[in-house]
Amino acid sequence: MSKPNPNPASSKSAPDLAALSFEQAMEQLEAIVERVESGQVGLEQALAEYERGVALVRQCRDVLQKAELRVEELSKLAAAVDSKADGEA
Amino acid sequence: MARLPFDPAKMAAAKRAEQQPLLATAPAGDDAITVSQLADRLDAALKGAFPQRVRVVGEVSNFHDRTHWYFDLKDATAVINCVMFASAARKAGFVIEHGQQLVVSGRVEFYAKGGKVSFIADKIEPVGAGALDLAYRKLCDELRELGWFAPERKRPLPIFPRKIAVVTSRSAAALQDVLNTIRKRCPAVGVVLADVRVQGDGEAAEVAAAIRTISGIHASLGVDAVLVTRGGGSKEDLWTFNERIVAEAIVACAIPVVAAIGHETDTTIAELVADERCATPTQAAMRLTPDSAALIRQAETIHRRLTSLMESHLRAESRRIDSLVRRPALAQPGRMVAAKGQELDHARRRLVSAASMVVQRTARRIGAASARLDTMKPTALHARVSTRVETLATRLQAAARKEMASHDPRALDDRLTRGMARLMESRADRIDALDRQLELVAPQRVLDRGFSLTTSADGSLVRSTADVKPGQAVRTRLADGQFESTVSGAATPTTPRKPGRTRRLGEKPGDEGQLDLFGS
Repeated sequence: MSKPNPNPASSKSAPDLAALSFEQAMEQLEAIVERVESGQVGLEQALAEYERGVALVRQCRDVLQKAELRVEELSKLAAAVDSKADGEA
Repeated sequence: MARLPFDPAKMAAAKRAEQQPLLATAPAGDDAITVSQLADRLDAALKGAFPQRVRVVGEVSNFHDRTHWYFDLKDATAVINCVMFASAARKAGFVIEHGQQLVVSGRVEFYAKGGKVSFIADKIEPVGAGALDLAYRKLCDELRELGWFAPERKRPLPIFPRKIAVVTSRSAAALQDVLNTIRKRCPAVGVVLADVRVQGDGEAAEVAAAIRTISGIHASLGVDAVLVTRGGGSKEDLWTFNERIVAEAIVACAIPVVAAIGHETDTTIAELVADERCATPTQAAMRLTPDSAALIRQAETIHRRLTSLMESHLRAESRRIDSLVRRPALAQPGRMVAAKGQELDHARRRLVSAASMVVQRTARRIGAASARLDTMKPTALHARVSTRVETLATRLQAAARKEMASHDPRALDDRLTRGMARLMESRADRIDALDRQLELVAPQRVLDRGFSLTTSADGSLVRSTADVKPGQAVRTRLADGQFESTVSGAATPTTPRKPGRTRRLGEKPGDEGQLDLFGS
């Protein structure tokens, strides 16, 4: 699994958060806590990290609390993937 | 025995064949034949009676492996000796066990040397469940050899799969168990259902194909794990998951596979090669989905931790600010000003003392000028000027003292310092101007009276004949101007004098040198 870029400098708001998987979001959260905990970041960066951390927490919680089970059919998905592949070929 | 998939009619036929009389016509008593001849005839009769291969089912007993295999095959009422030659035994694929139910294929012959009817087996098959067990064990051995069961081959399951592909029958209770568990535990995990038949012909191929499809497009599906599952059933019902084709698909799958087939007591090959085996579909679904309640708690813990970290960060920063504020530079700016004031005061004192030195020096020069004036007549002029100068000097000194005395160091500022400096300078300038004026005025009066003033090239006053040498350039100043000349002859003092004693201007107006100069 390719890891997301945990670079805090690229801390943006909502759009890139939505693209993260839950696992990636949790990984980023842990990285943020570690960085802030280390005390090696300046106040401004710490604040930016904190802001992103809170957004990540909110996103994770939303994913967990608001989700409803979705069941898809492999046969339909596979057909869609196939036709897409055919279209590209 | 009820489940044995063999035709009872064939078995009956075999039995009948055994019971038939071996020879239709017995030889007459006198026409005795040898044992060997009898054996030949028996053998021929047997072969005639069973021209084709026969399949016989029975239970193994007295099995011996002596290069060739020797055993008895029996049922409730009969027994027959069997031989399986090494060449055929090698192809059997399994080793016969005592008590085993076997279907043995071969032919019947009369073994002359042993005087027995023997069944020469060329093929043996285990019967019913025994057959499945054997096939299972055989595949197990083979796959173990390939390392497919090795723990190091097992991959860790994703902590939070985006989607799980469930390979099972749509109608199976197992699917409902899985869906209910996921819905309860973590509905954020999606399910992709691969609906397969889990019973009947070609089911193994279908299961294998579904797994291969998922493996091929898992990335675009967003599927992170596969769950192969089926509820409980008979050994035959679960047989699909013991087939090699399914095992191969699981092993080749690009993402981790969890298998939960049948009940806990059943262990299928699919489960042995899967990355993780679970006892039931519910357990498998639990194993594959994170507990969202626990995750929410975790997220909240992280949130709290982050917030408290941030707060302590902020506290630390504000402590830093506080300690900076307490530093003298910021805490008592007045002290800094006072320190600067002291510096300023010190500078001022130096300036005043420098100024007073100027005053004193000037006073000394005035004193000297005054002394020189003393020597010049008229005395009245001298006295007047001298008095004025002294008055000025006194005033200047008094002013300087006053300035020094009246000054409050704390109130001192640049303006004061500059004013002081200006004051000092201007007074000094005035004294200088006065001095210059004196210098100019006093001799001028003398010159007006017809005296002249001779200076050497360096500007020093020629006061004595000793001051000049022949050939030296001198400058002579008269009342109306000046001229330059060169001393042409040796100086002749009018009266012997002590060397170094200053001859005062105006005192010796009859000085020969001077007269000479004045006269020329």
